[in-house]
Amino acid sequence: MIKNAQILPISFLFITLIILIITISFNRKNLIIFIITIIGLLISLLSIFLIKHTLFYPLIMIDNYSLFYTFLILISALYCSIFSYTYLNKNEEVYMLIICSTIGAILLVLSIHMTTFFIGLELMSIALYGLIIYLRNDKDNDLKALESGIKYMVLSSMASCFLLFGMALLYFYYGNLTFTNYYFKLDDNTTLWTIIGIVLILISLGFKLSIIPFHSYTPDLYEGTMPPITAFIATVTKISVFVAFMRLLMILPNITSFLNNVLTIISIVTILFGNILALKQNNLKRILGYSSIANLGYLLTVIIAMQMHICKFILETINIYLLTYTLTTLGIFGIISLINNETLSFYKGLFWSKPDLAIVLTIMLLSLAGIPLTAGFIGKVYIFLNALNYQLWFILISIGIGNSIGIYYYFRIISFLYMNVNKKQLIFDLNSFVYYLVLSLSLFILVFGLFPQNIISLIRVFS
Amino acid sequence: MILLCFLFIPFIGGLLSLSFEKINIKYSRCSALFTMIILLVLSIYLCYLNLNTTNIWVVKYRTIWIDRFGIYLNLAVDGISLSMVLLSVVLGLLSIICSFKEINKCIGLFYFNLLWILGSIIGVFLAMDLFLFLFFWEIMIFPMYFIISMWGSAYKEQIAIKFFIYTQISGVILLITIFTLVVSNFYVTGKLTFEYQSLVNAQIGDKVGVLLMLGLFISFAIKLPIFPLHTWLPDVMAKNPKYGSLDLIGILIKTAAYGLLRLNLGLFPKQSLSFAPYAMIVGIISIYYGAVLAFSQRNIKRLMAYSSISHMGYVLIGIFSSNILSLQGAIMFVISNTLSSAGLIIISGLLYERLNTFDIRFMGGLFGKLGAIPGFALSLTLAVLGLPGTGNFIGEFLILLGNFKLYPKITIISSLGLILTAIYSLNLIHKVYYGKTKNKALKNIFLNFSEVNILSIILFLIFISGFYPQIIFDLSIKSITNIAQKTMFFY
Amino acid sequence: MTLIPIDYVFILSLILFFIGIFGLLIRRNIIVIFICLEIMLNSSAYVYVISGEYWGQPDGQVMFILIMTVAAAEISIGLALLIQLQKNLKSFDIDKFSRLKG
Repeated sequence: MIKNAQILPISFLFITLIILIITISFNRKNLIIFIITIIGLLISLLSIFLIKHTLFYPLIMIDNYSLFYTFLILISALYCSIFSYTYLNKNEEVYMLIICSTIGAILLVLSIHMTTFFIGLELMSIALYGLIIYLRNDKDNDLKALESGIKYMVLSSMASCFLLFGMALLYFYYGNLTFTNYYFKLDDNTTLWTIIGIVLILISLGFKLSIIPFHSYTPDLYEGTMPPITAFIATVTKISVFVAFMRLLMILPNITSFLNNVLTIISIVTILFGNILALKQNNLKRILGYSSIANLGYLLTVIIAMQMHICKFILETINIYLLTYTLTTLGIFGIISLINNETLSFYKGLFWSKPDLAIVLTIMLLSLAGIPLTAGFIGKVYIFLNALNYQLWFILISIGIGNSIGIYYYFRIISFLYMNVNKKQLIFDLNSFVYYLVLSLSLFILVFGLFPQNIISLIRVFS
Repeated sequence: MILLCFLFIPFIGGLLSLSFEKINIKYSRCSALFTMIILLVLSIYLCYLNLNTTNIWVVKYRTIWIDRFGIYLNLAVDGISLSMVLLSVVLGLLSIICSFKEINKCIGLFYFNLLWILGSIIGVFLAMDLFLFLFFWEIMIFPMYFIISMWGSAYKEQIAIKFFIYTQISGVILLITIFTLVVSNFYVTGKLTFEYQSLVNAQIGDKVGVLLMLGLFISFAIKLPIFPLHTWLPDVMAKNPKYGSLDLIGILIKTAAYGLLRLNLGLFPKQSLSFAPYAMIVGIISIYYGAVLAFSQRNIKRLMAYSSISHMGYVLIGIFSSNILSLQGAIMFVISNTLSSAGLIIISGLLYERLNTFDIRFMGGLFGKLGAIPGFALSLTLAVLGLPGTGNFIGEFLILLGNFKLYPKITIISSLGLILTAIYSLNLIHKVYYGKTKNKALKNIFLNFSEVNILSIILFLIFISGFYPQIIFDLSIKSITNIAQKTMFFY
Repeated sequence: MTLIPIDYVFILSLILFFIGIFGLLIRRNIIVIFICLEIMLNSSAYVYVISGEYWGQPDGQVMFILIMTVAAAEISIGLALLIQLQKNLKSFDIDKFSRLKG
């Protein structure tokens, strides 16, 4: 009946967006807008299951790999909009911006052409600027949000400029804007301009994924924005940019061994410093910001392996790792937006006032740290096996060290939770929707950690 | 199936006592005790099975867990692991009985952590899949961290972090080593498997094999601990609740000894033998270093820590000389040394209760004052220094006897260390129990019923192993012969 | 008729690009920063146009139009930000922002 069922998810999102805009201009009721958003997201989530065949257009490609990430992005958008419903009371525009940004992210994941890549990236980021600088009529928080928004905006548009310039140089050399046609090797007759182009693209990758020399805005961004939006940044933007760059790098010229060495050093530095910088922080969201830097460092090692020899195992690693990372991050930010405080000292003795929340937070942090029994451990195992498989010894050692440092600061948070201090009761609504969502996430993480086989075989289909 | 129950009972028991805390504290205590009793009964039943079979593996359980990596839920128990499991269950029971009086805050959480430590230790002993081994090895650290950081004494946070960093380094080295082993096996055979039985026959190149063996050795040496990597133990012991440190000595150290025996000797017999002289030299340094430092300590608990470092040197020598006699000696020594040091740790806790100090300088002249404590202390100290009639003597004697045929010089040097052991333990007895009374604020509390029971059970076990060591030899002889034959092949 | 060597085009656009980067790094006034962003975007748009002409494809010009549109959207958000900045701090100087540290 429908000729191209493959573009259903994204077109449903577009329809939702239009309905939202019309409804907002007539009727500013928070609940109605929220329900429309949720229904739109759910419908496009369900429409993924209708898709059977892969679609290959000049501009977009829809295969199992990109569908998996569409699914992840939609799930995180769903969670983030639910978080922001409980976190804010009057915020009709937030849903619109979230949907807009989600469309951009999905377009980015599907793109195989420079135009879609660029439009997706910009659609995602421009809507995000609005989300980051969403003012709450609270002087202190507003200034923080403004500052982080300006930082993010300037740096992110600078990164897009780098990307554009690099792609322009490559376009000049190869005469094609599609990624799939870059079947070339970097040999002697490549000009200096091509190498500059590739370097510029890698720099913009560094900015967008906040790899270490380009990381400085990330912790500020995490601290300045509202928790639901931080969850959105930490999951959706990271996933989509990483996946799109994967697709780009999969077909980019084999990076020369020199560039590969540079990437190795960068990833080692990212892993080590991302973890070390998190040690002394006292703000939970800043810690999570640094931990996201370190996590992307782990993922970068996969890209280095991919430059040597591409195989299915790498895609599987990325899928599993991003899945566990997304779910865990969503859970932690859900709890933060439920408790609505981000200073670490506030969490002292949480176990004695709210044991269930403390246990859920513990599970999430353990999963981020990669402790057995949780999903994060499976992801770490994949990363380790991947580095071993390609015999990247330095990276292997730095992953080990970084992982132990990481475990240390996550445990610092956990030991804060169980400190025995007398404190006043926290006041928040435990019967809210977010509570059950977070609970289900933590259950899923435990189940994934204990019986990973089913989920692994499910994910292998998508890689 | 019985092994699966054995593995999960402590974890479930821990959850139960955590959840019972809200209802009534007594319930959570009872559930912890009850769990341990079930475990004891089960392990005695396993011992009974072991004596009636001729197989090396008494009971096996194997089912697939993660198919993708060839990871099996592969549990098996043989003589070595059975004796270790029995020991840890007995010690766990004792520490739970002890903690009835001591632990007053967050009781449910304490038992939760204690039982999870026990469960993961049992998991380490039962695991026949290296992934599973690693899994439990990692889990073990975290409850221990919580016990130190929540129920410890002064500076507990820093100490907990120190412990954590050391053990985490050991865990990471172990993880990298095991994964490397598995991947290099995968390159040779084309089969991704973590199973011990199939990795035993792995064709590993000599260079890689030496590296992997060293990785395992370092990782276990941190946990044992051996001389250059030992600095966490004295601090942790000194700042620990008495029952936590009981666990430390008793259990954490044994896992490392077990790992050395099972993984180093089992997987890399050839490389281990070529490394043996160096390992023994490290052991000798450890013996002397620990003994000398133990002599100069003022805190009883630090003294115990250094003495255990010194004793672990003997265990290292015994394991690496790798023949039937010395391996049996090592197991015997681990068991009886663990028991005797556990007893002394309990006594130091009792002394603290009465004198409010761990400092030897403020003690003295206690003999004949504190009821039965000095008597127990004297006999336990004599056991530590290896008096004939205790298990420690049998262990040391067998280790040295077995080693003498192969490395006579090392044996001679290390046996001289026994003199130092005697000196520092007699010095301890002398300073604490004889001489003038220095402490004015002496509270003359007599031992209560359960404390007398605990100490006499420990003494009884030590004497049993001293006078009739055949029981423990019978338990482990089959699997030890198996390991020793494998290494003999490379002499 | 001799054409200008194509390298000159790249050098020109690279110079423009670096002017943009250095302006972005050195200047503290937010309006100038936006101008520098525009310069960077346009320098890459210039390369697109030239290489589209070089290959005889319309793709380069399509990219140019896209870049212009996106730049307009970005700057409009940026100006909204600027108004908020002026409201809160009474200044265009981004150095006045120093709340987030660590």
